[in-house]
Amino acid sequence: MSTQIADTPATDPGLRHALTQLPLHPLPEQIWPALERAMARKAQRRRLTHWGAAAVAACALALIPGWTLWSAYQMGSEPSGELLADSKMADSSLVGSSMPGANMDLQALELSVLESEVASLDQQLQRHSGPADQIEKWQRRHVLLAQRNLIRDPNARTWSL
Amino acid sequence: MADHSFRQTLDELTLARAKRRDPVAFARIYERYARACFNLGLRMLGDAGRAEDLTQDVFIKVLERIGGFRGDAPFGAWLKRIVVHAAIDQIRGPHPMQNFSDFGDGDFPEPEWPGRNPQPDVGPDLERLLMSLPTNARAVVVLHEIEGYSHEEIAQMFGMSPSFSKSLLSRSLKRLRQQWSLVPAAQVGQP
Repeated sequence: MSTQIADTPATDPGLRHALTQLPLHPLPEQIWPALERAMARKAQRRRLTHWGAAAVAACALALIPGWTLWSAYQMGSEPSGELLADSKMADSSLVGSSMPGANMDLQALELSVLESEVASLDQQLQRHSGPADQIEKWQRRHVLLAQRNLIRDPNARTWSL
Repeated sequence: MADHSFRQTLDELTLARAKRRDPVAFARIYERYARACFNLGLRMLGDAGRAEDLTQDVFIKVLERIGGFRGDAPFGAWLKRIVVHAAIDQIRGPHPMQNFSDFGDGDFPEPEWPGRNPQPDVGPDLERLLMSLPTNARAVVVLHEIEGYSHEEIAQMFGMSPSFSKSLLSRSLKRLRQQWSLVPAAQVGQP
């Protein structure tokens, strides 16, 4: 059956020509405004995601020292030297011993990553690009700076940029 | 007459600007290609509302993916592929469209049109006959006969075997020929 179908010359040149000549329908005008709204919603969601991620990161950074102290208090003792050494080793293993700067403090590493990303954004901002792109980069830069400030001063309770 | 097909070329400057998310460049791309996207969607899906949604979704995808467009193929071909895949996703999606591939002998439902077909004198015009085909069958006819895709490409897009595409095309064209033969050749613009 399938061989018969495959061997049958399905295409009719006259019919095909007529099909390719079918006129195009006009484009409904309502698509563009709806598309603009959808794009604006998407851009807003993206911005919120940036801020949300920054807020989560900031909360996590602020909570870690508190959590460590609380754990030590619950154990009824000050964190021992051994515990601290273990924790430092764990930090190093997270970074990866074969990577350059494996022994670098995690906070310093994170700060250097943030600084380099800000510097890269500053370079990109000096080049001309579309307004939407520029706004996005400025927003990203603000988020990064906020993260950096919180790492430098975890006790800060304000979002000063 | 302005070309509204996927064959139009897109200048490098507009493309580069669109890649940097320049809204003006994006609007220019929309102006040039949206009509082709809408019409391909309309022919594949057979429903103006769905074709409008499809066009909107496609341009959002374009906005998201244009940064990765490398220019190996013309922009129009790249865009057309996005439209075709989006339409097939709708046809095969979690809520598949009715009349999937059933060639039953009953009356066909009236297709939903954005407006009257611009060829009012053709009688049982070809587009109307095309729209009366089951969804899958119509999509295969549009992709093979109008858009020039091969059976292998169509089969791959549908995740089926080439005999699926050949079989549907053969049966669809047979039906179209039978009904189209009732229309005088001069009225349908035969070559």
